[in-house]
Amino acid sequence: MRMRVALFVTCLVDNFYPRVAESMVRILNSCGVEVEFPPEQTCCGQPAFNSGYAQQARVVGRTLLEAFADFDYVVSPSGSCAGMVHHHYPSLFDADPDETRSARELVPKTYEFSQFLVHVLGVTDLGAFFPHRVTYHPSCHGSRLLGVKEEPLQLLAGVRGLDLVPLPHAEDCCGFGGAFAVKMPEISTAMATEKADWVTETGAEVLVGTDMGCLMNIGGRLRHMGRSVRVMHLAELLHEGMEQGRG
Amino acid sequence: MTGVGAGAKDTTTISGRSHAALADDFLRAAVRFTTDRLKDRKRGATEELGRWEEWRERGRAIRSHTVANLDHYLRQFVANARAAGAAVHFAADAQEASAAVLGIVQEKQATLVAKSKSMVSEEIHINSRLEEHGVRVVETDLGEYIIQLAHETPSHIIIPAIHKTREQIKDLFTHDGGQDLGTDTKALVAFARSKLRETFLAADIGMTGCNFGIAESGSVVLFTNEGNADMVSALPKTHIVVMGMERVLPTFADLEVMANLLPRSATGQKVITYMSVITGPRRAREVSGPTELHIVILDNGRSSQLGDAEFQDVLNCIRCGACLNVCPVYRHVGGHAYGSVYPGPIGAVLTPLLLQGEEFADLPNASSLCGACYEACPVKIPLHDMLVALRRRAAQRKAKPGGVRVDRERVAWSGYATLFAKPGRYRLVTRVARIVQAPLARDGYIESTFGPLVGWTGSRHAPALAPEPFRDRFSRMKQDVKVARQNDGKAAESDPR
Amino acid sequence: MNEQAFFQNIARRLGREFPADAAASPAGVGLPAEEPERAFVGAPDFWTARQWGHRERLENFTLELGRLGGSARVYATLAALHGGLETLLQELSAPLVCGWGGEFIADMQLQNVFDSFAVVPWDDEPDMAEPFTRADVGVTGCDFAIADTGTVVLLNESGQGRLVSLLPTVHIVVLRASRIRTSMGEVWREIALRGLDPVHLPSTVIFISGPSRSSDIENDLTIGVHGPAAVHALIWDDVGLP
Ligand code: SF4
Repeated sequence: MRMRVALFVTCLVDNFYPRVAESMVRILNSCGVEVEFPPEQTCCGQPAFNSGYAQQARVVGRTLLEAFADFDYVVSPSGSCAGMVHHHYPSLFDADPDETRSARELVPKTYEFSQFLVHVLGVTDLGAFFPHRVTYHPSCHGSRLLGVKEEPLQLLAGVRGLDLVPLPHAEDCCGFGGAFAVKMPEISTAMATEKADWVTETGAEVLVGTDMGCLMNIGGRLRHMGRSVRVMHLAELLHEGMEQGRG
Repeated sequence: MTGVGAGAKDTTTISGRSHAALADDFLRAAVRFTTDRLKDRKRGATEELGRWEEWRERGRAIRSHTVANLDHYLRQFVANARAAGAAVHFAADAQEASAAVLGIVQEKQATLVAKSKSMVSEEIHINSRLEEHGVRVVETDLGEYIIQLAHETPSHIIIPAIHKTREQIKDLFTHDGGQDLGTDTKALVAFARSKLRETFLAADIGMTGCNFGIAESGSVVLFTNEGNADMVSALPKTHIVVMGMERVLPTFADLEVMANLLPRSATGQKVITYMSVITGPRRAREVSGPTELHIVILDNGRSSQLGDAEFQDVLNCIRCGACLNVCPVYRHVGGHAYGSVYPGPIGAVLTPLLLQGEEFADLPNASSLCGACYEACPVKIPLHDMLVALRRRAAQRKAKPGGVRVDRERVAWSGYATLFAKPGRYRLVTRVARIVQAPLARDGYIESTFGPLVGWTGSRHAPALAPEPFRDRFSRMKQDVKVARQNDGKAAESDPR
Repeated sequence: MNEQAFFQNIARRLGREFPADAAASPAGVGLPAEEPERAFVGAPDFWTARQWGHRERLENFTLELGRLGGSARVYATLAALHGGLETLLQELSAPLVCGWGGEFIADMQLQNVFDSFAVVPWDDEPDMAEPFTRADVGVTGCDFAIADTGTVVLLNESGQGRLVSLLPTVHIVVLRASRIRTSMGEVWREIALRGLDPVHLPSTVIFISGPSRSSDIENDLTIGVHGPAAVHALIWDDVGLP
C-alpha cells in the first residue's frame, strides 16, 4: 500500500517562505513520494504555548490533529514545530480522551524534513551540485529537543562541490525564540548580532539551516547590518543543487 | 554596575537591567571569555569520563528519589547529625535563618566570622544582618573576597567575580592593603592568601554552606578548590553550616556520583581539590576541629515545590552553574541583570518559585527557550519546560480577578487563537495582511521601524508576506513523482526513534 | 521554626502523614523506621564493577596526581623512601617542618628523619595551633588514596591533626601503596565497614586532590590560594610486583 505523506507546512513557511515548501515537495517527489497538503492545518500553537497561553495553543493545535489524522507520515520544514508536537502535544491534549489519542498517534509519525529523508527514506545523496562555500546553523529545538543533529550534515555531505565551513559557536541560540525576540528585543538583538558576526567570519556565501524562524532572524539581522550572505533553508539548497546537478 | 541610556533607569525589570549590561563591553567580553572556557573544559572532562548520559541519568534518578522522599532522608540526616553531636536548627524563611545564625554568634560573643562561599547564605543576606550587629564577616573564597571588597553581589554561582578584570581587582586589593600589587595573578593571590590567613586564625566562628548532607551518617559535605571551607571549618571553635533543606543524599555511595558530576559540570575539573566530610564536632580523642557544630536548615520557599509535578525537580539542582555557562542570555547580560541571588536559567526558574510575587515574575521571559540549560544540566532538570510553565502560571495569575486590568497579551493571544483556529479565517486574515503590508514591503522585506514589532524591526529587517501563500500555490502544483530511489520508501532500519 | 512543624509540612506536601510519635518527641524527630524502596544506590554498575590490579592503581594514582600539579614518587623499600624524604626536605630547606605524630611515625619508621630535620610532631595534645600555623612544610600519612583521581584521604584522629595538611605551603604525604583504592566508592565502602556511627566515623574525612587552586581572577589558574601550593606523595610500594 502506498504511504500517505502530508506536508506540515507551518504558518511561517506558508505565508512568508512558500518556496521552502515547494522545494520540499520537489525533493520528495524525486524520491518517489507524492505529497499531500491537508488545508485544515494552520499553526502548531507554539507561539502561544511558549508565552504561557496553553488554552489558546490548544485551540489552534487542534487544526493539526484534524488535518493529519489520516496520514502515515507528517513532514515539516521546522524542527521546532515538529518538536512542539513531539514534546507538548500529549500533555497539551490530555484533558479529552479522543484528543489524547489523536495527539499520541500524531507524535510518532511527525518528522522534521531532514530526519524524514535520512531515516524514513534512507536518502543522503540527492545528486545535488552546489559549488559554494556554505555554513550551517543547527537550530536549538531541532537539534536539542528533537535530536536532529547529524541528519542535515549527512545531507550536506552528499552535495557535490559544496564547501562546508564550520560555524563557530554553532550551538548557541540565534536569539529568535518566538515572542522572546519581541519581548526582550535588546537581548535578542545582542544574540542575533553575535550569530551574524560568526556567520560573516566564516566567509560563507550561504547560511543554511532547517528552521525558517531562526533563519528569518539571522537573515534579518545580517541584512540590517549590511552583510551580503544568502540565507537558505536546507530544502531550498538541496533543490537548487539538484536542478544544477541535472543541468 | 553603571549604565547609560534611556533604559538604564529602569532597574525593576530584567530588560531594563540588561540594557546597562549590554552597553558594558568589558562585562560581556569577560563573561563570554570565561563561560567559553568553562564550556570547553566541561566537554573535555565529560568525554574523558565517558558514558556521560548514563552518569547524568543516574544523577537525576538519585536526586529525584531523594527529593521525593525528603521527609524520610532529611529526618535521617537530622537524627544522625544530632547523634554525632551537632545542634540542628530549622528555619522557615530567610528571616528565621539569619536570626538563628545571629543567635549563635551573639551567644558566643563572636566579633569575627570567617565565611566560605555559599549561595544559601546570600539567600538569607546574613552578612548585612551580622554587620548590623557589629560582627565583622569576611568572605574567604577568593572570588567572594573580591566581591566583598567591591561591595557587590556575586554574578555567577561558581565564579562570583566573573565580571571583574585583574585591573579592577588590583585596585580593590591595593586599596585594601595600602600597597600597589600590580596585576600579576600570583601577586594578587599571594596578597589574598596572607590577608585571609589572619582571618582564619582570628575568627571566632566559621560559617559555610553545605554541598551535600549525607542521610546515613548525618555528615555535611563541602567542596572547594581553594581549601577555604577546610580552614573555616577546622580553625574556629564554632562551625555554623547553613543548608538548603533539599541538599540531602541518602548514602556515601550516592555522593560518589555527585563527586563525579559536580566538578566536571561546574569547571570541567575531573575532581574537586578539597572535599571535606564533616560529621558532628570534634570527638574527645581528636586533637583538632571545632568543638561546636550548628546546622541551620532552611526552607525559604523550597517546600512549596514538593508535590508540585511541574516544579518538584527544581530541587534536584546541585548548584554547579553549568546552565549559566551555556546560556546565551547569561552570556550577553551577565548575572547582575537578573537582579536575584541566583542568576542564569536556574535563577530565572528558582527565584520566582522561591520568592513568589511580582518582583521577579518577569525573569522567565528572559529566555529564548533554546534548551541549552537542560542539555548541560548534570541532573537533567527540564529548565526550559519550567520556564514555560512559569509563564503559564503568570498568565493565569493575570487572568484572575484582581489581576492586571487590561491584559494586552491575553487579548493578543486570544485573537490569535480565534483567527488561527479555523483555516478559513486564517486564510482571510493572511490575505488582508498581505494587502496592508503592500506599501511597506520592498524587495520582499519590511524595513520600517514603527508599529508593535519595533523591537524586531529596529535591528532586523523583517520578511514581507509572500505574494501567494503556499496553500494557494499547492493546488496548482503538478507533482512529478519519480520511481522511488534507495529503498523504495519503506522505513529505513536506521530510524533511531 | 518548630522541628515537628517543619517535617509535617514536608510530609504533607509529599502527600504523606508524618508519624505522630516522631512529631511529638521532645528530643527531636529521631531516626525513621523504614527505608524507601530504591532501584539502585550510587554509581552505575560499569563503574563499581571495575577491578584494577595493584600496578594499575599505583600507576594511575601517580599519573593523576601529576596531572593535578602534584608529584608522586614510588619507592621499593621503606629505606629508599626515607632517603627520598630526606632529599626532598633538604631541597625545600624549610625553616620549620611539622608532621603527624603518634602511630604514623612508628608505622612508617620516620623517627630518624624527623629527628634530623627537627620536624615538630603533633601527637595527642589538642589545639596545637602554634607552631603549626607557621610551618612551611607539613608531613602526613593518609588513610586511603584513590587511583581514579590522585586523591589522598585523611581522617581526623589523635596524632593526625588536621592543620598539618592544611596550613603549610608544602604538603608531603607518605603512604603505603597498599592503601590505594580504585574509586571513591571503594573508600566509602571500607569506611562504612568500620561503622558510620559517631564512634567509628571521625568528625572529619578530607579528600585532597592536588594543590589548592583558584581561577577566580580572569579565569587564570593559580595554585596555593589557601591550602598548600605543592603536594608531594612519597609511596612505599609495600606490595611489589605485580
Ligand atoms: S540547574 Fe542543573 S545545570 Fe543549573 S546549576 Fe542546577 S544542577 Fe547545575
